[in-house]
Amino acid sequence: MEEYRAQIIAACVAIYFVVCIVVGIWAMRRTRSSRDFFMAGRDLGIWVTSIAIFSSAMSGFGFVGGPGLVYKMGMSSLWIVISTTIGYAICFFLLGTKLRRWAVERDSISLPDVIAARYNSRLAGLLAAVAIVLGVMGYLATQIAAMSTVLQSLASGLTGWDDLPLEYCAIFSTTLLVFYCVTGGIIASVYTDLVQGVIMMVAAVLVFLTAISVYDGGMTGISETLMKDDPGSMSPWGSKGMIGCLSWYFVFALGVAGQPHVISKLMMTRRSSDARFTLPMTVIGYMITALLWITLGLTMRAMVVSGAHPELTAPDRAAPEFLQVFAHPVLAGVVFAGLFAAIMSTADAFLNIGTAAIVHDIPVALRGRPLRNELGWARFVTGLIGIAAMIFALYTGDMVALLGAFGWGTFAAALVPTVAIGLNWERGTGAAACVAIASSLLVNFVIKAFEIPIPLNIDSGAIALLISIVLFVGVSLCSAPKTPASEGKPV
Amino acid sequence: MKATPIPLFVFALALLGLMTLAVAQFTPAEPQTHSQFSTMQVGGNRAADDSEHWMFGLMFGWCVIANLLAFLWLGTDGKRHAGSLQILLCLGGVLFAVVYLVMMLAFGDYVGDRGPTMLGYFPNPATWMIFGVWFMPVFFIAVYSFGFHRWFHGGGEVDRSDQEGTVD
Repeated sequence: MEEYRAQIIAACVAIYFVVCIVVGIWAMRRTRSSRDFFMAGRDLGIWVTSIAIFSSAMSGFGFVGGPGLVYKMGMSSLWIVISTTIGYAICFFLLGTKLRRWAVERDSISLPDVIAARYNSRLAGLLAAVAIVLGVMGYLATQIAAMSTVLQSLASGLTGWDDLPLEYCAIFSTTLLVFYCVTGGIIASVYTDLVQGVIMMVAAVLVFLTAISVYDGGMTGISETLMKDDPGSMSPWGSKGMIGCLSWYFVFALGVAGQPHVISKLMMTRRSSDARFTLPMTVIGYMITALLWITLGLTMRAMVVSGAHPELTAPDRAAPEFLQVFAHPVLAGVVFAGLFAAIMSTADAFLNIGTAAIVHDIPVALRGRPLRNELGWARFVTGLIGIAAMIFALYTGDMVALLGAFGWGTFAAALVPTVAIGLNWERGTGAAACVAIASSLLVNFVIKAFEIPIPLNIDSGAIALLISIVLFVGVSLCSAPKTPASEGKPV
Repeated sequence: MKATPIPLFVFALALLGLMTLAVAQFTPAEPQTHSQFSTMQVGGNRAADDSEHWMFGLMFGWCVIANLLAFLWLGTDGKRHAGSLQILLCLGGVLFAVVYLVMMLAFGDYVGDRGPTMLGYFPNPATWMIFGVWFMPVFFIAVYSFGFHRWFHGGGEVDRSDQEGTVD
């Protein structure tokens, strides 16, 4: 079986791609309006919503970058993972039922729509849409770049495909993504998320079991080896340090309630009472997939430290190297499919919210009414965004990394105060929302663009988030509130 | 929507203040590359640095927890029977703070005279981090799920939105 390793992996991935195409065609028949395209007709059940939420949060970063960080820094990056339990709890306490109620009562089909209605301010909606478009372009480009790179390395093992140019891989990846998002919109996106989420969970459990069985002494042996080599890396703070790790914990915990690709799913559920089950199921799903993040990085570090494996050329090679050397070919195939699933489930969510921002939110903010034939425009713009992100990924180098890093912290700082606090505090004003969103863009962009060093490894997103919270509450207390759209004419 | 975000405002300011204090007071330790493997970093001086500022780390962590709890609290105001929910949140908050304290004590021992020890599959403080700090908030998730109809979902408004939101 070993001699057919590359073929087996390619076959598993090909089967997964075919499933995505079939789901896209199936979803096309269910997409009849822009409400279906962006909000899945507000008809998602508990299972679909839960899996869609955690799988779009656990991106390719979780499957490749996460183990790479553990390999490089020791326990530090686990603070990102462990923030999820409290993060999802906060998200559901504040928005679990409320966001859906606002969306239904104002017939909102996007997050900026809800923001514009809440503050009776088109400017607030416009700024939120701009923040989303900027974040989406960076995130989407990094996902396409990751997918193309993995596809290229997969093809390199197949005879006749070993020198496939990266551009071809990017074109294939984008075409596949755009196909099912154009045909089926968010319906295709969430139902492929369902398939992707299940594959990710299976892959994570199998990798966990393999990882602890390939090292003598299992997880205890791994820990003892690493502790003997460097006790500091196995302390809770790893090489990042205490304040840096806690700033990660803070921004990733609160940031969940500000990620548009995550919280917009709460607007699509069939019943608001589903939130009761969606929360625990989402957290369980995330915890299972996080097993891969934790065990794979530690195992590879222990393998290298103990001399059982040569040093990796780069930390991000931890996951691919483990799969190539230690995993059974079928397991490697499932995990590679899981890796594509992780990347694509995030990318399709971004494609959808980016399209909503351009086709719906910005025209509504500028013209006061939506475009005619919104569904047609949505399909066209989805393709356009996909192509733009692909070009961006291939030809702009550092800019992609800059906008990719810009994403989480910007979304958190822009949307946590305006959405999570604003929907729970009626004194929050439109002026405060605009100031909070503008400050989040400014602070994050200035820190990233000018590469301002922050001592003690404090995360720039944490600083931007704290500033925007303080500004939002402070400006709200100092400015006169407008009547929200709930009490007046809908925006 | 009768909530007040004043606690949240105060804790956010406090955290910003602590960050500024940390930046002003501590000499930042640079990340160190492993002596044999250039793609790995080691804790090195960082661990000694962190143990030196143990008390500050405890305060900083508690302040982060207070911020997170203030957000949970914001989600409780204006709810029916909010009093009992807020009592549960206080209880959860205390538990959370205690779990973090135990992790910090274990970290103190880890870098102190007693040296690194294992607890289960991981070093002692890492075990508290993974099975304590990660799993403790499951308490809040249980409160949300089991008390959902009592505290988070009720009233005609929600039922109406359910009917309006469902497609045929």
